[in-house]
This record gives sequence, C-alpha cells and structure tokens, in this order.
Amino acid sequence: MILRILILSFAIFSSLLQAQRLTTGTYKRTSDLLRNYGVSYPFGLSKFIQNLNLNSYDDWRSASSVISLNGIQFNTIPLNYTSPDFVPIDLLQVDSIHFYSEPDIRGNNIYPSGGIEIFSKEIRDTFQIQFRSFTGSETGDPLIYRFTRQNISIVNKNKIVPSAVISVEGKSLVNYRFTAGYFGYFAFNSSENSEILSSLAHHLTKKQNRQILGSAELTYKLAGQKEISLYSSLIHFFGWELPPFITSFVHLRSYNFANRLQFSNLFKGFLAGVKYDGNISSLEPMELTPAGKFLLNDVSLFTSYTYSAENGILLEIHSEAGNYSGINSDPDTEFKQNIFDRQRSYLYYHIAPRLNIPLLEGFRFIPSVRLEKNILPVHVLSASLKLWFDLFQKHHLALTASSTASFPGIHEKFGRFSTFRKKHENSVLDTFTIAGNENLLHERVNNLSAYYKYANPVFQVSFNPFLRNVNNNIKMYDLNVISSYYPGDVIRNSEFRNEGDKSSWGINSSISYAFPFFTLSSAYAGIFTKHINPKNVLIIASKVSGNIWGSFLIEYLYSSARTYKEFDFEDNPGIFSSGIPEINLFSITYSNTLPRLYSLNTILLGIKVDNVFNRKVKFHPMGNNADRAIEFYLSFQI
Amino acid sequence: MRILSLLFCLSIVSQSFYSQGIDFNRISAGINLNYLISEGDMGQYWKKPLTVGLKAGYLLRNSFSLEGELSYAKFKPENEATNYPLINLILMSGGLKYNLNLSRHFQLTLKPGIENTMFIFSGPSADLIYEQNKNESEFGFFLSSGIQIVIWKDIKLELNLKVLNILSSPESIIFYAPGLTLFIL
Repeated sequence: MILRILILSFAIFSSLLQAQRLTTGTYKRTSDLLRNYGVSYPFGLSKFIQNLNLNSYDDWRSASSVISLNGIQFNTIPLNYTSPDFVPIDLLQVDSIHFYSEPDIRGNNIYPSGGIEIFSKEIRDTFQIQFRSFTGSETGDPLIYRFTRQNISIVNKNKIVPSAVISVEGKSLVNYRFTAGYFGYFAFNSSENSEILSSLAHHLTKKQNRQILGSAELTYKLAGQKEISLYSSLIHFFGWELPPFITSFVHLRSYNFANRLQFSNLFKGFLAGVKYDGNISSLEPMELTPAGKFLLNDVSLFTSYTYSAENGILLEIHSEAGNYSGINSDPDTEFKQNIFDRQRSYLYYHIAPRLNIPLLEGFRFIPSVRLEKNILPVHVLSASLKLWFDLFQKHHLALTASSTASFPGIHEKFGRFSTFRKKHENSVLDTFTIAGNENLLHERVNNLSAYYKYANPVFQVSFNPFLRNVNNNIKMYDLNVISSYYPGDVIRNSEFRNEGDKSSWGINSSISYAFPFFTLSSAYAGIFTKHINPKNVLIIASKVSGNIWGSFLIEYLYSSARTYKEFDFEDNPGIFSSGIPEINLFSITYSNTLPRLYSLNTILLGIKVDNVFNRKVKFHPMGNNADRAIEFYLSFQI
Repeated sequence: MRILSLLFCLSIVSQSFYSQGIDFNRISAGINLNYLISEGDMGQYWKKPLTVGLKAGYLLRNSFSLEGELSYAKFKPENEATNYPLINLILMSGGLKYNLNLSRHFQLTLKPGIENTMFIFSGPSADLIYEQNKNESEFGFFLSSGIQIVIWKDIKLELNLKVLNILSSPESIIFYAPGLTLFIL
C-alpha cells in the first residue's frame, strides 16, 4: 500500500502490470507514476489476480516474483501472497521502483522470475509535509432498482473509501521522516461473491478491507559520506483475500513490519546492515474454516562492497546471512488449525560477487555469481553472464545467459491449511487440505535473452526476445477439486510438488514517440508457448499535455484469452469458467497541477475513469468483475 | 467522494485563477430551473419534478468556460399505494462549456461533463431496505446544449436541453432535462 490500495481500478492496474512485464528493467520515477496513474498503481492487484507475477509462469507460487525494499529482499510474506500490499512503505516515501521481468542477480537479491525493487527517497534537510489522498467508486449502485426490481442487493464492489497518507520530514539532530496512512476499500463484497462470503462468515460479509501504515525513518550523517540510517515501518492489513496458498476466501488480519539499520561508507564503498522483518497473521474463524495464527521472522546481517579500479573495472561483493522462522501462535479459540506443525526455522546465507569489465569503448562484460544456502540443506550456485554494447550513444544491445535457483517458500515446504466442506446439502463434511512438502527441491530457471533498444530524444523502440526453461518446477498439485454445496465455492486437496520442466519463448517490445504536446507509446508481449498464457498482450497509451488544460491520458489494454487449469476440473458446475475471455479495456485519466496555492505547493488533482465502456471482464476466475470505476486523487506539499 | 469531486471542480477553477489572475469579469452565475423527464422505472413509478439550482462559470479563454451546477429535486411516488420511497435528489455537476456566437445577442452552447447524483430515500420502504444509511450516490455523464440570449449587458437567458446518464445497475437511469437558466452575472 501501500502500495496498494486500491484500486479498484483494476483495469489500469492490470494494464500497468502488463506494461511492466513488457519491458525489461523498466524504471519509473514515482512522480511519473503519480502524475500518470494517481491511485491506479500496481498495488492492489490482489483483488483480481493472485500473485504479482511478472512472467506468467505460475500465479500460485510465492517465488514467482520477489520484492525488495531498499536493496534487501522483503521475505516475510504470508501465505505465498507476494503482493506489495504487505510491504510497509508508501508512495510518499518512494524514490524509485524498478521492475524486472527477466531472471537476474542484482546486489543482494536474486530474481529467478523477475521482481520488483522499491527504494525509499533521501530525507530532505528542509521541513516538508506531504499529503496524498484518493477515493473512488465503482459505478453501478442499484439506486431505485433496489425498490422496483426483485432480488437486487446493495453492493460496494471495488469501492475505495476516502484514504489518505501524510508524511513529515526535516532535520533536527538527525534527518527524520514520519509517515502515516489509512486505506480502505471493498474487495470481494460484490454481488458475485456475496453469497459465498455470507455462507463462510456472515458477520464479516460487509466488512471493508483496510490498511494502516506507520513508518519512521532516521538518518544521521557523519563526516566523509558516512551515514547511519534506520528504517522502521509497520503495515496492518485487515480484510477479505484469496491468498494463493489457501486458494479460497479467508478473512485475514496481518501485521507486517520491516526494520533496517544500515551503516553506509564505513570505509569507502562498504555498507553493512541489520535486517529484522516479520509478519503476524491471523485467519479469522469462519463457519467452516478453523482460525489460525502464525508468525514469520527474518533476521539477517548484510554487507555490500564496491570497488572501482583505475582501468574501469567495477567489482561488487554482496553477502547476507540470517535466520528465517515460521511458528504457530494459538488463536483465541478452540476451533483452530496449525499452519506449521511446529517451529520451523533455517539458516540462510549467500555471497554474490559481480564484475563489470569494460572490454572496448561501449562494450562491457558483466558476469555475476551467487553461491547460497537457503531452506534446503544444500549449497546452490546461480550465475549470469551479460554482454552490453552501447553503439553511437543511441543503440544499446544486451545479450544475457543466466541460470538462477529458486527455493521453495516456507509455506510450500512446511505449511498446512485445512477447511471443511460438504458437496451436497445432506452429505457429511469432508476435510480439504493444502499441504507443503518437505521433500521439495529447488527449481532452476535457465534463460537466454537479447535486448535491443534505440533511443533518441523523441523516439524509442526496444525488442527483447527470450528463451526460458524451468527445471524441477515447483507447483501446487491438485489431488481433488470440488465445487462445494455453497454456491460459488471451489475447494481443493492439494500438495506442492516438483513437476518436471517447463519451457517458453517469446518477445517483449515497446515503441514510443514524443511530439511537443503529445506522446504515443505502445508495448506488446507475445509468448509463443502452448502452456503459458495469455499469449498476447498489447498496450497503447497516449498522453496529451497542455498548460492550463492539464493532461489527458488515454490507455487501451488488450489481453488474449487465458486458461486457469486450476479451475478446469470435472466437478465444475460452470460457475467458474477455467477460461477467461480476451480483454479489451479503455481508461481515461485527467490530471492538473497547480504549482502553488497559498502555502500549498505542487498540487496535483486527477480524475480517472477505468473501464470506460463498462465491459465485464475478470482477471481471475474467482475475482470480481472489473466494472467501470471513477476515481479522484489529490496530493500536495507544504 | 462528493467533497473531492467538488474540490476537483474548484481546483480547476482555482487553476484558472492562478494561471491568469483572478478576473471577476470572467465569472458568470445564475439560477436555473429544469424539468426532469425519465424513462424506465424512474419515469414509471415516480412523478416528474422540477429542479431548482444555482449555476456558476468561469471563462477560460475564447469561447470555453468551466461551469458547475448544484440543484435539487424531490420525486414523489406516482402512486401512493406502491409504497415506494420519497426521493430527494441532489445533483452536482461540472463541465466544459463552449459558446458559439451566432450574432450579437445569440449564442449556441454545448457542454459535456460529469455529474454526481445523490439519492436520499425517505419513507417506510427506505427504512426497511437501506436501514441506517439512506443515501446513495452515483456518478454519471451529461451533455447539454442550448441557446443563450443576451437580454441586457451581463443578464442572459439560456434555454437548454440536458441529457444525463446515471451509471446505475442493472440499467442506467437517463434523465432528459429541458430547462432555462437566468444568468445575472
């Protein structure tokens, strides 16, 4: 939420998500995101899809995408839910966000299937207050039809209640920034899902989702570029969700915190720090699902060293060593379940050197290696070789070969979730369990890719063909899937397994042209492999800017049909289609900036209409329809 | 939501003030009356009311101006026996208006925009269905067109027809609103 929120506009979200997927190593300044997209920001996707998966490999796995905060992975994600919603940082604190759709080894992080890096911005010396708020509504309230028609219920589908974040920063003895925020929205409280939610937990049916953020950042600058910084932040999440590990509706209460104490430039180029991240999650008791409560803890020491030689060779050595643990904490009820059978903990560590060697002018060779031990009792090597060419300052070409390891998550290896259902009104309750597998091995992603980009001040084009193979693919394997007696409910017995190999090849491409008051950009991703979809994704965006008139952004998203094999089961009564039809979505955003009004600076106001033509589309079989929505946002500085 | 939408419209006007300096000669204001005609359930089960409201605008440049409107209408059930609720309707709109000069005294106007409509239900049936919160708001889009006649100096009379599409479910509510506005500024 905080990076999430929201969003109801899942249409845009998705278009953003796909856009990021289309470009390798996309870099966007936060201000651009705010200006262009306002609340429609890639956080909040979870209402419509499962994991924030940048590669279409598997929406149900935690390791499909990795999120890092200030250069260090944020791993205490509950229930395989790799969502930025659980990362305790807000846009007001963010300096930049990097999206990677390719396997990569970067600093202390490894991205076997792409990832997201979030960096907080430097704290200013001068006093400043920043504020942002947003609110939005689905359109489609029943209004008078509640009286004149039969069986029409009140819904608050995808509605964002007034939400706001404020941050205060400045310098006293130390540089400080304090941030607080509240976000509220209705997730699955829609006509599509109200019946099943009501069956599962009637008293929670109408509850809105909410998130509360509190953050403190302190930086003490010493002589000679030395610096000590503390990042301490907490985000509370409360609401209905569909966590990938559980694959059915639960009402989740979660506290995620991140604490990072970091010493920069202890000596030239050397950084060291301590990380203490954690998560406390509770599953609310429901009629057929026992309550559960568990804790995740991640404590580590990390270092980075950078050395620049006179001949231009750059050497980086990154390392981290820590302890990760998951443990049950009994909920205050007798009707309970154990997510972990006992305390599970393991030591992990890695060392990752990287060289950047200039061979000729504009020609660099960049080898990276990472040796690590993680949840498995083995040492595993990952490597990446990259050749980078800069030709005539306008042409850029990169050739990459990599082989990266991806370990099972703690839930996939040791987790367990049980619930009860009956198939028919008069049948007995059966137990359905999703179980981790202690025998899981790591999977390996082998990648070959090329990246070409031509850029001049007004025109830019890029192509990124790739060939990828996943060995020992970790996957949730369904033993039994049924549609239960409760309408709209799909439940399964599953366990995690290593399931052979999976290969894909495809291309990402983008093109953009900037006219004086008008920019036109387009991105396309094509995947030419049978079992991975959607096959084709196309985005076209056009932005018209004027002075007094503000700016208009018009976006179009096309995504070809896709199939969710998890919903292609014999017992499916047709409530959920395993196939999602192709998507055609339009959205329009208008924003205007007022440089100064009394004591307020950089006032940004915007309105956005998502899904302008109100097409009924879904991105996940059990998700909400992305109806038309209208959102407002406002931000300013003092 | 309503506050923000209003704020949004105001901010655009503020932007104009800021960018160009406040020029009170560019401000227009008046009162307006409209007759709300609707098809479908709204027209079938409720009587057609008059709306009364205020309108204010700011000339941006040439023939373009921003115009906002706040108006009120009360819908009584067509048939008391149906037990349908009484509806107090509050309409807030903002749009971009274009004036085409036909002659010294006549102008054609065209205005598209966005409108927030708040339905406040009252009566026993509203108590039954909406329980605690009897307000429902919904957005919509409108297009209005008319003829503006200069009567004397800044005093103008505008005859217009507005088509408003409220994005409700399962069907949109569409109002056809012929009316007049008397601008006194």
